[in-house]
Order: sequence, then structure tokens, then C-alpha cells
Amino acid sequence: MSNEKIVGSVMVVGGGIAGMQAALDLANAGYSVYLVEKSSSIGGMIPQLHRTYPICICCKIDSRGVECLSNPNIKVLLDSEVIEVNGESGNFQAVVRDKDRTINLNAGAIVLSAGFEPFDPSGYDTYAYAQFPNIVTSVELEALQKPTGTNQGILRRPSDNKEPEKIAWLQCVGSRDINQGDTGACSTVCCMYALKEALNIKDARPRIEVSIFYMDLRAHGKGFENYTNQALAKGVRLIRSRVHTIDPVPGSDDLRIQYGDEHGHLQTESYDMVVLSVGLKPARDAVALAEKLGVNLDTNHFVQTRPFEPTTTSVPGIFVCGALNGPMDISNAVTNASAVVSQIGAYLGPTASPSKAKPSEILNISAEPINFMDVPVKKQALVVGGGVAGMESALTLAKQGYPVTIVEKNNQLGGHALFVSKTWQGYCVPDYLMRLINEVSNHPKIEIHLESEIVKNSGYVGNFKSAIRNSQSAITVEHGVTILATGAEITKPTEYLYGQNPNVWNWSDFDEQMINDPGVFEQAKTAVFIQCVGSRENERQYCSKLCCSFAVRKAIDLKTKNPEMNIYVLYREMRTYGDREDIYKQARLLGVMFIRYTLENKPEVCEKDEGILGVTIHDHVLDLPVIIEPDFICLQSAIVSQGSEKLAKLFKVALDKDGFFVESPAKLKPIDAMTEGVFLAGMDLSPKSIEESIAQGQAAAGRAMGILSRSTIQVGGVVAKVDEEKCVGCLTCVRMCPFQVPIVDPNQRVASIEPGLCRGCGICVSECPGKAISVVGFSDQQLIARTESLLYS
Amino acid sequence: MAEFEPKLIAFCCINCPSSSVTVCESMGMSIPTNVEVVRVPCTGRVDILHLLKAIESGADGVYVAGCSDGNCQFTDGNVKANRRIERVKKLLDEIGVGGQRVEMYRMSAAMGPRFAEVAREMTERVRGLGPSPLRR
Amino acid sequence: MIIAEQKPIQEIKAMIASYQKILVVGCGTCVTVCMAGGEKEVGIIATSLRMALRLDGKKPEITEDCIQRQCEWEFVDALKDRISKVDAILSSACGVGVQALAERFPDKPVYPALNTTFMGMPEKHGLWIETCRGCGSCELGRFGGICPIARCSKGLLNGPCGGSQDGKCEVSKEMDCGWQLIYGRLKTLNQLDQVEEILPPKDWSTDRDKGQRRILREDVYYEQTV
Ligand SMILES: Cc1cc2nc3c(=O)[nH]c(=O)nc-3n(C[C@H](O)[C@H](O)[C@H](O)COP(=O)(O)OP(=O)(O)OC[C@H]3O[C@@H](n4cnc5c(N)ncnc54)[C@H](O)[C@@H]3O)c2cc1C
Ligand code: SF4
Ligand code: SF4
Ligand code: SF4
Ligand code: SF4
Repeated sequence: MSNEKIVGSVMVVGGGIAGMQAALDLANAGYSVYLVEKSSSIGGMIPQLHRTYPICICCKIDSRGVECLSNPNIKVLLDSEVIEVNGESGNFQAVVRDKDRTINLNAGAIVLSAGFEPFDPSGYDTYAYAQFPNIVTSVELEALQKPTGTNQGILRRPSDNKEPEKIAWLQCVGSRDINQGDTGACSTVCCMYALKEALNIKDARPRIEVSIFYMDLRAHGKGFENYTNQALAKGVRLIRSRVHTIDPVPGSDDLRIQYGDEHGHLQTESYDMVVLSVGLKPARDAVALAEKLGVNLDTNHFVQTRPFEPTTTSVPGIFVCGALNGPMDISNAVTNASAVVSQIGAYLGPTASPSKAKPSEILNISAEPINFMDVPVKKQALVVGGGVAGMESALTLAKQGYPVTIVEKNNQLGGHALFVSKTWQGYCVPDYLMRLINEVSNHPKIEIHLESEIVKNSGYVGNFKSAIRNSQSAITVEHGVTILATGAEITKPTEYLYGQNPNVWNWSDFDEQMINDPGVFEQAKTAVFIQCVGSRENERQYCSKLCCSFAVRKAIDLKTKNPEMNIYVLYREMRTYGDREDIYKQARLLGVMFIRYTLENKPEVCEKDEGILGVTIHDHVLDLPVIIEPDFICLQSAIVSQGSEKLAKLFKVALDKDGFFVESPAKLKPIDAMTEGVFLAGMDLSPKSIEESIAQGQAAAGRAMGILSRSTIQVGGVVAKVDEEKCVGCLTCVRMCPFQVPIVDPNQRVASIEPGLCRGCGICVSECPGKAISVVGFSDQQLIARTESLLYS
Repeated sequence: MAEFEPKLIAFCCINCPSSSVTVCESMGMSIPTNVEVVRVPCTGRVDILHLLKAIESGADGVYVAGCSDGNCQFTDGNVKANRRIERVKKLLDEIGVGGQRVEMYRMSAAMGPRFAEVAREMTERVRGLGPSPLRR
Repeated sequence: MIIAEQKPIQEIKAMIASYQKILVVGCGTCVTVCMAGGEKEVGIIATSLRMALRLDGKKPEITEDCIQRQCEWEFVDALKDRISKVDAILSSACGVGVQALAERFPDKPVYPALNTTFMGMPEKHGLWIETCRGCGSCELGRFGGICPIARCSKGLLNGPCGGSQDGKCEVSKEMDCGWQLIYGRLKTLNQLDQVEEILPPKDWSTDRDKGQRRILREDVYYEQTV
């Protein structure tokens, strides 16, 4: 065989949500895909779940599966396992075996997406799982909750089929090195899924008492803080404590839990049922396969990726996404998968995909013909924002030959990463950033507009037109896709003497100091980090997500350079999710002091003579105030939107109440915007770390490929249409359309609806007071006729 | 006399509630035969007039089955539908047909049997109200 | 724009109950935009009436139409054929439209389906506020573009009164104090000196005190119109 890359085909191992998404995005971009799944159906973990957080996507998982099975570019191999892989990057030969035969296949690249196995507590006495029937794992609980389960959705405990009245969850089972047999990593999803399970139970049966025993509540994702507040409001009880023992209550099937409360007093409570929130372990055979392929694993045995390349393994041509890449939730798994696809695209080069019917999810029940229009795709991308996410997406697309225009409002590329010294793993950010900026700046397919902004946008997927303006000139670009990656900002705190004492910094001040004048840190004897400054309180009910890992990383760095330094991290909840837990552990071993505070008992900072700082905090374990005199204080201040209103309006993207962009309400599209052909990446969606922004930037490119690789795109179908004779230009449709599609041009005085943008929901049709709009297949006449025929038959 | 069997029309969005129907069927649960389903792309397409016309044409009750809170594929079609239903209720009360004959239900696919449950719940409610005065 | 509101169905029913054939006529201008009497509302009114009357044991024939503007003879005349076939007309236009129909079809009883309420605009979608009283001699220039006659509950020209509190009117906490708005606006415009000036009583002769008002424009007047 020649050394030529097998451009067209990719083998995806594991058909969970990550594998399915990778397969679909690859197929849409024109690759042919082998989707190898060990079990007898695709879907992975999700079909076993009862509803999902933060919004429920249950109704979409089946349709994704059907899409995979019916896509002509995807060959799904069920009950199959990869036995052997030979060859090398660009030209792999794999042997796959199903129930009764072996298949040889060739692939240019391999994607590992075999997901996770829930931790199995049966081997460990500590959890008493094997002894008592009413101790179940969270996975078993979800099955019990499911309407398709044995009890048709009525929760009954296993021992006697009684409906439980009191249920307890024990968190971190199998995670965070709590007990023997546990992995070091935090499993990232179990805090949230426990809340979800408890909340769902509360919703169904409000009288059931639900309590969650936890250490840190890791509700760090977008919308999670609200979700938590909602659960609390509905009566979900959160108890911060480790449970010592679970004993049977004599004479019954109930269970007695003993735990130490926050004041160190021993408490005893009985429960009808106990749920173990089991952690995520990497899928066993997949780990074996990875090892066989020579792919490096991380300390927790998940597949390791290269620094700043969140989906690239140590072996060229082999990529990883989803929970095999590390514990992650569904939306991250989907993002991860799209990122993989973009990397494969950049690696193997593009393939031409045929134009495809607009996948209309709306069924047409009438006999009326649906008209589609073929419109050529402008094979060019517009990226707004030249930070890490924007540059990564631009570069990925440029590598596949698509021209990209980057618009950056500052006078240089780099964005916020310019002020970051290291990632939480300790990787050097400035080196990476310089490399990236160089590559982007020198790429012949990339055109960069600095100190520029977008002032106008029109068109629809495949055919956008935007006006870019800077102080000297204005130009217009045509583009098939738009990627918004405009980042976020750090607030300047208004408390803790920030701005009043020169040694009180926020975290970007701190990092600047580290980059520009590290000498300061050598003399310092004591350092204080205060967490959640301006986050998770008052008007900002969200977690800024990366500040916990930041503080822990910095504490380790300081401690390693200067072991004598006393370092205090004052925190509300330590959110070192995933393998960030490793550095939390390392920091504690190095002697960094972590002291928790509550909103009612925030630390107090004062200035003594000569500007010396004093910090008072109430230690809840000792129940005593602790007084610290630090040389400097680093405040992990909130990350806020940098004001995206204008862009949001131009590109018809919604903003949430915190000013971040909102992803498409169509589920399982975590980086698609409301408007088709517009993608979102990085901190403009929500606060996140550099590697997560890289993954999103690449994922946006992966999604964009699905459009750019086509020659034409079909628009129309089930869309709304205005009868200009009847329209009175009242603006109702303009105001009521969730996607801001209708416009009333002041010169034309009647509304028009662009079929390329309309989603066919029909909301405007039902609001129009002039009855001037109809939607194909669902006009008033049709719906009324349908109703009448049903009633008269 | 045989027990009164109400005729109901259910406007049902093709997302969650429709998958609920599938879940029901896969569980072998039947949807009461007195309920006729009219599918719409989103409950936001259900117009005040559609509900009134259904009653005028002889339905004993009408309801709209939409996605659960915050789960509308079109952001808030379900909320908009709900506001219209409130107006229809008032109108029907004024007219004398009774606003109780219309209702909005929200459900998710994962609550599969909820569809069948709602169908029965609404059937029971309307049975209690008796046949539509327009049919008497 | 003219803002109107639908009458309760029972009130409408009482007016037209004795007729067998009724035409409901909407108007495609102001009342469509303020969502009280356009094509959509005509459908709702007609359907509701059919049901309400059926409950009284009647089987009326109620038909629907909606014309571009009920206050223009040409548009109204186009209804001639349809109107000749009915016993009564229910107009869901503003009072102007109702009267235009009455004048054009003297032998047909015409009834209003709406209460015509004021001249104003939507402050939000679904919330309309009165902003002009049509006094006939506009003095908005003195008040920073905010009308004290329409927007001060007492129509004070030398306001505010002592009841203005936190920017709200003492008559109702839902209502902005018109004078507070005027003050704020003049302040922005640097024209606060205008508030100091005491205005003499307004000449109300241009208001409706002298009976029906008319405007005749010689330059455009055309005797032959319809
Ligand atoms: C109890 C519980 C509740 C949860 N609730 C939520 C929630 O509400 N919201 C949320 O966002 N996340 C939730 N999660 C997390 C969610 O399940 C994961 O994010 C998601 O399933 C990860 O998808 P995946 O495709 O990476 O892996 P998986 O879903 O594990 O899919 C992997 C697939 O690969 C196959 N496979 C394994 N090994 C091989 C092999 N060697 N060869 C071929 N195929 C193989 C498996 O059979 C499986 O089909 C929950 C997790 C648990 C345990
Ligand atoms: S998410 Fe992390 S902290 Fe929360 S229960 Fe899971 S392992 Fe524990
Ligand atoms: S410090 Fe930051 S990451 Fe940690 S809990 Fe607070 S807001 Fe979240
Ligand atoms: S709602 Fe109807 S009448 Fe109003 S502008 Fe839109 S199409 Fe025209
Ligand atoms: S049908 Fe109407 S409301 Fe819905 S997306 Fe199209 S234009 Fe917007």
C-alpha cells in the first residue's frame, strides 16, 4: 500500500452521544464513517437515564440514533469490537468482529469515543452496597424512575416495593479518592445528576424527603447555579458531610446513616433508600484498546490528550472525544465530538459532500408540496473575535482550504489569554499563544481585521453578508458561516479593599505580576486567595468556573517556588472538577490551607498601619475566627459578559440574563446559535478555561464544515410566508418571532420573512392580527379542516 | 343510559408530547380512543380560533400538549400558547360553554405515560362537565 | 393611532340577538394594529357569537369580512352586496367606521363591537397608553414633547400638582406622572426655564366645545369625491 492518506473514511469506536455526534458531523462533511459499537444498540448511557440536566434532551436521543442509522455515509456496526489495528496515521487497517464475522476496514483516522462505565461499588464494603437491597446506585435509580421501567415510573424501593418517603444520596462514590478503589478524579457530573434525580422525585411526589450528602457542590456549568437554587427552593436538602456508616434499622428494611454535621456533631437519620452517586470510570475494553494502540493514558486512566489539543491523543491520526477523554456531561461530550471532527478535517483534508436536503424535523402532514430552493454556499467563514477560541476555529477551517476573515476589536490577536501565564495543568500559555498567533497571522487563507467591528449583517445560512468597519474604511464580506467568539471580561471587585490597597489584586493583576515581575513572590511570606468574588451572589447567580482551578494552580506554583510561604485559599465551594481534583489534592499535600466561608460569613479585609493587610475569616471547623496578615491578596473576581448586545442583535442570537450568548433551543446543539449557520465558541457563551475554549473553537469549526463542504444548501420547506396584500405592518410578527426573522422594512411597509432563516414554528402565524401569515402545511384552513374532519368522522 | 364518552381534540406539538405518545405506545399503554390528536410544529402555532372552532364544531373539550417549561424547541411557543388558552377560557366562560373545557398541559418525552394520563385526566374532567352545551 | 377594546361577548350578543343574518366587519388599519378588530378578531368575535347564540337556541347566520379602512367611502361601498343580504351589521372598527357604515347603509342597523378608547400607542407589545387628546391646538413644543393634557390626570398646564410621588401619579400608582416626565425631559433639553413660566388658561375653543369639528382644505377639496 502507498503512503497516501485514506482521505474519505474514519472509524469511530463507541456509539454513545459523543460517537454519534462525531459520526454525524463527519458524514455531513462528506466522510464515510464506520461506527463500531460494542453493544446491540447505539446511544450509550443516555437511553438509560431518566431525563437529563440542565434541560432534558431525552426526546432527541432516539432521533439522533435514527439519523445515524439512516445516513448513507455512516455504517453502523453493532455488537462489534475492534480486534486489531495496523498501519499508521492516515492509513489504518482495522479488524472488527461482530457476533458472527470479522470485517476488515481501512480508515484515515480513528476516533475513540467509547465513553465510561459507572463505578461498581459491589466490591467495596465501605458502601455496604452488596449487603442491603435498598442501597442502589444512581444508574439503578434512574432505571427505577423511568416510566418504561418495571414500576412504570413509580419509584418503589427494591426490598419490599414500598414507595419510599425518605431518600438519601451519597456523593463522590468511586471518585475523588475518598475510599479504596476510587479514582482520583472528580467525576464532574454526579453532583448535578443527583440534584436532577432529587428534583425529579420532588416534582413527581413533593412529599418525598430528599437529602444529598456531599463535600463540594460542583455546579460549575452554564445555568447550573440556577438549577441548584431551583432544587433548593423545591425542598431538596443539601447536607455538607461525609457519611461514616450505613447500618440497617433493626426490624425494617430502612437504613440508618451516621454523619458529622458542620459543627462536628454526630447525627443519625434513617432513610427508606440510599442512592450511591457513582462516578465515571473509563470504559474498560476501550482502555485496553487504547493501550494496544499505544495511546497514552492519564493518571486516572482516561485517554490523555496533548497540551492545548483537547481531542488529539499521543498517536497521530487517533483522536478521542466524550467521557473517554475524561468525565464530562452530555453537552461537553457533543462539543468534544464536533471538535474531533474539525481536527480530522484539518488532518485529512476536506472531502466534497453532496448538497443535502435541509433536515426538516417538522413532518408535513398535508399533501401540499413543499418547495425547496437550492442556493449556492459561500465557502468562506467569518470569525468575530481573535482570542483563543476564534483563532482555533479560524485556523482549523483555513487548514482545510476555506478562506476565513477574522474581525478583532483590539489592536492585536490573543484576547484574554494574553494575560494568562499557565493553564491549570501548568502548561505555559504565552508559548502556545505566540505559536498560534504566528500561525494564524501567516496563514494565506486567513485575513485579519484588527481594530474593526461588524456593523451590518444580512442573509442566512450559506449566504451571509457582513459589513466590517474600522477607523479608515468599511468593507463587505460574504460568508457561508459565522463564528462568534468574543470572549468575556473579568470584573474589578468593589470589595475587599480592591483599588484601595496596592497589594489587593484581582486574578489578572496577579497573572500580569507573575509574567512581568515575579520577584515580588519570592519575598512574600503569606498569601491569601479569596474565591467567588462577585460570583454566585446577588445579581450574578452563576459560577465563574475556572477561578477555583486557577487559585489552586497558583497556590501550587507559589508553594513549589517558596515552600515556606503560608497560603490560604478562602472558598465557598471548591470546584476543581474532573482531573483538576488532582491538583487540589496536590495543593493540600503541599500544605496549602483551604478555609471555607459562607455568604453570611464572608472574610473581612482591613488595612492596618502602613498599608499592612489583615484578613479575618471564621473557621467553621474550629468555630473560631482566624486572623491572617498576608503580603498580598488575590481576588478571584467574577467573569462577566463583555457586552454582546450589538452583536446579538446583528446576528439574531439571544442573550441570557447575564449577557452571555444563548445556544439554540433545539436540543443537543451546544455551540449552535439560534440562527442557523451561526456558531458560538469560548467565553461569550459562559466562563470556561482555555482548553475548553479551544475545544469549543474547534467544535464550531467542525459544525461549520458541515455547511462549507456543500456546494449548495436547500432553503424553504415548512416556513412562514407573508401575504403582502393583507399585511398592515403592525410589527407583531417582528416582536413575537423567537428568532427575530420577520422584518418590516420602513420603505416597504409590509413584513417579509426570509425562508432561509425561518424555522417554521408558526408562532407569528398565530399572533398576526391581520391573518397575513401562513405556514406551509399548517395554515388555519388546514388545521381547522383537520379538526373538523376528526370531529365529524 | 351508557356513560357519556366525551369527544376531545388534543393539539399536540411534534416534539416532546409526540415522543410521549411513542413512549406510551411502546409501553403498551393506550391513548383513550375518544381523544383525537392534531399535530402542530409547535404549540405556538395553536391559535385562539383553532380552539374555538374545535368547540364550535362539537368537541366537548380541547387541550394543548406542549413541551415542559424551558424546553420548547422554539424558545417560548409553549408560553405563548398558554396565554392564548387563558383568553379562550375567559371567552368560553363568558359565552357560557365553560372555560374548563380547554386546558394546557406541559410534558416531556421522558414522562411518557403522562400523555396517556393527561388524556384520561381531561376525559374525566370533561365527563364530569357533561357533553358540550353546544351538542345538547 | 386609534386604540379600541373589544366589548364583552354578552353585551354584543344582547345587541344583535334579534337578527338572523349578521355580517361582522373588521377594519384593517388602527384596530388591526391594536389587535381589537382586525381579521383575526373578527373570526374570534363571530365564532364566539355563533356559540353564544346557539346556546340560546338560535341558529344565526354570521358571516365575516374585513376591509382595509372602514372610514373611507370607497372601501365601505365595496361591502354593498354582502350587506344587502344581511339583517344587521356588527362593526369591529372604531366609532368612525361604525358611523361610516351607518351613514352608507341607512336601512341596516349597525352595532359596535368595540369601545373606541383613545389616541395613543403601544408602550409595550400588548400595553397601550393614551398620549394625545386631540385638543386642536397643539402645545407639545412647550412641554418637551409630552402632552400634559393627555398624560397628566388633571390636565394641568402648570404642573405638577402635590400628588406627584416618586415619578408616579397620585391617581394611580401604575401611571407615570406626566409632569415628572415633562420636567425630566426639559431638564435634559436644558429648557427648565420653561417650567417657571406660568401659562395663562388655554383657549379651548379648538377643542370639542363648539360641537363637531371640521377641517376644510381648499387646496385639496374635491366636490365630486364619491
Ligand atoms: C447516573 C448518571 C446520570 C447522568 N445524568 C446526566 C445528565 O442528567 N446530564 C448530563 O449532561 N450528563 C449526565 N450523565 C453523564 C452522561 O451520561 C455522559 O456525559 C454521556 O453519556 C457521555 O457520552 P459518551 O458518548 O462519551 O459515553 P457513553 O454514553 O458511555 O457511550 C459510550 C458507548 O461506547 C460503547 N463502547 C464501550 N466500549 C467499547 C468498545 N471497546 N468498542 C466499541 N464500543 C464501545 C458503549 O457501549 C457505549 O454505547 C449522567 C451519568 C450517570 C452515570
Ligand atoms: S461531581 Fe465531583 S464532587 Fe460532585 S459528586 Fe461527583 S465526584 Fe463528587
Ligand atoms: S471560585 Fe469561581 S469556580 Fe470556584 S465556585 Fe466560585 S465562582 Fe465557581
Ligand atoms: S403580524 Fe401580520 S400584519 Fe403585522 S406586520 Fe406581521 S405580517 Fe404584517
Ligand atoms: S414561523 Fe414565524 S415565528 Fe416561527 S421562525 Fe418563522 S418567522 Fe419566526
